Amino acid sequence: MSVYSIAEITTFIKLHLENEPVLRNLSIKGEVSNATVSAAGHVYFTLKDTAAQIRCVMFRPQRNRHLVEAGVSLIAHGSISIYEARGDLQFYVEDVVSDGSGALAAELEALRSALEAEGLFEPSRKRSLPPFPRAIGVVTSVQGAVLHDIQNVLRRRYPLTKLRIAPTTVQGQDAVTGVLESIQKLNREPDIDVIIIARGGGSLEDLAAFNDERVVRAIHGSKTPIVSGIGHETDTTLSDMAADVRAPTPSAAAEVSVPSADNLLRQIIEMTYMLGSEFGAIVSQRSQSIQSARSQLESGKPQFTRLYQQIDDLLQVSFKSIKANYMFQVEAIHSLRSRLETLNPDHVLGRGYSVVTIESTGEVIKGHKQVTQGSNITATTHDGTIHAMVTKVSPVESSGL
Amino acid sequence: MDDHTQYPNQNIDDLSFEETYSLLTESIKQLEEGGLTLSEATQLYLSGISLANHASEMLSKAELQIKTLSQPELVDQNHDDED
Repeated sequence: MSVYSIAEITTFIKLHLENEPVLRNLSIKGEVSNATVSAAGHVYFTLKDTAAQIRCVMFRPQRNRHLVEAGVSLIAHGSISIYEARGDLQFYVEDVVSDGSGALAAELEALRSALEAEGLFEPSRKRSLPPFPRAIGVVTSVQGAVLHDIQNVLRRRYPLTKLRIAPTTVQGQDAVTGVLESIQKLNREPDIDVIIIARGGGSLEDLAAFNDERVVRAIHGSKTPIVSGIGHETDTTLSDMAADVRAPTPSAAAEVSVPSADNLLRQIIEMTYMLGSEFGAIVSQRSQSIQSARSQLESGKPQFTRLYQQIDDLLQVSFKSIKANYMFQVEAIHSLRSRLETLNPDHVLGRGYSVVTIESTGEVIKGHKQVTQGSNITATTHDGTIHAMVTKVSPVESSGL
Repeated sequence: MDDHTQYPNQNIDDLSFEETYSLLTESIKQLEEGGLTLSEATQLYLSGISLANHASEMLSKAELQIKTLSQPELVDQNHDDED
């Protein structure tokens, strides 16, 4: 077996590498780390992915040298050889371009800055959600679990609301148009108080429609407040930033859009208690007022007693007076009756007088001229009647009185 | 105060949840503020109880209505099964 010097073997390797067509002209994709610039202006860095890494060098003059920054994904073009002095395998980079996703991220960042500067994400512009939404509009795909999750949350939390679905694709070239149309459609519905824009998780490319400027502007311009629930908690799209409320997931978007029926029921029970206690307090207050008035009356009782006494006295006086008057009247009547008694003709006859009448006419004879000799007359005494005939009529001779 | 003043031109059953909730809150506020006759307070209390009953009934009987735009409205039939 031959023994080689280090120089010999590294030269051997170098020749082999440099004669290998694949290694003479290739592109490698990876993330930049450990980028340094030497005094001479050469750029040294490492390209790595999750499994491996390789040393890289860009000699002056370099193209797109500014792209070489730690953390950036890029595609480097060049050849592979060995640096004999250190025995390092090196990628001699002639040119770099941004990795596609890196470019997308940069573009997205540029758009974000522009829209932010325009005020589209301004917190002060965000509207609060109505407490009891009549209907919730949902912009999402009918495929997949998102819609099902939203339905479940609404059904559990606040089934009083109505769910209006504006289906759209949420990924691919038609997604932007679909999302825009759905937002417009839901804005035309009169009873929709909140719109949820939802999508399941995905890569930056998958979520592209929600980073599209037209969609972001439509969200910003929506008449109806918008809640976003796009992707997973770690995904933040420009749509999320423009929405009135950003929820981390579609289910969370449904949660924040409606009140909880359980909480509302508890509140209503509390309010029923409050009604009862307030009304009870009023009744109790009135009852105390009445009690107090009654006490006042009670405390004023002696005065009333005195008044009663006075009234009683007055009644007594009156009664006596009436009684006296009555007795007087009784006396008067009695006296009157006695006098009447004396005038009763029967009593006069009893004393020996009689009433004489003309028998034919019953006329009382008051003077001698009423009869002549032979006239039939009747004398009525107190105990009987005497029939007689006039035998003589003699006038009373004048006595000169 | 009578029902007429409370829900102008409407029967209590026609009130939305939001209207009911708001009237209920208002009834409590008025009772708290005081200055009512006993008759007014009684009326407020009774109408408040009716409002509370109406609101809780609405919440417990509700079933999510689902409509896909440009398709006929559906009443959720899975309510009892899934909750």
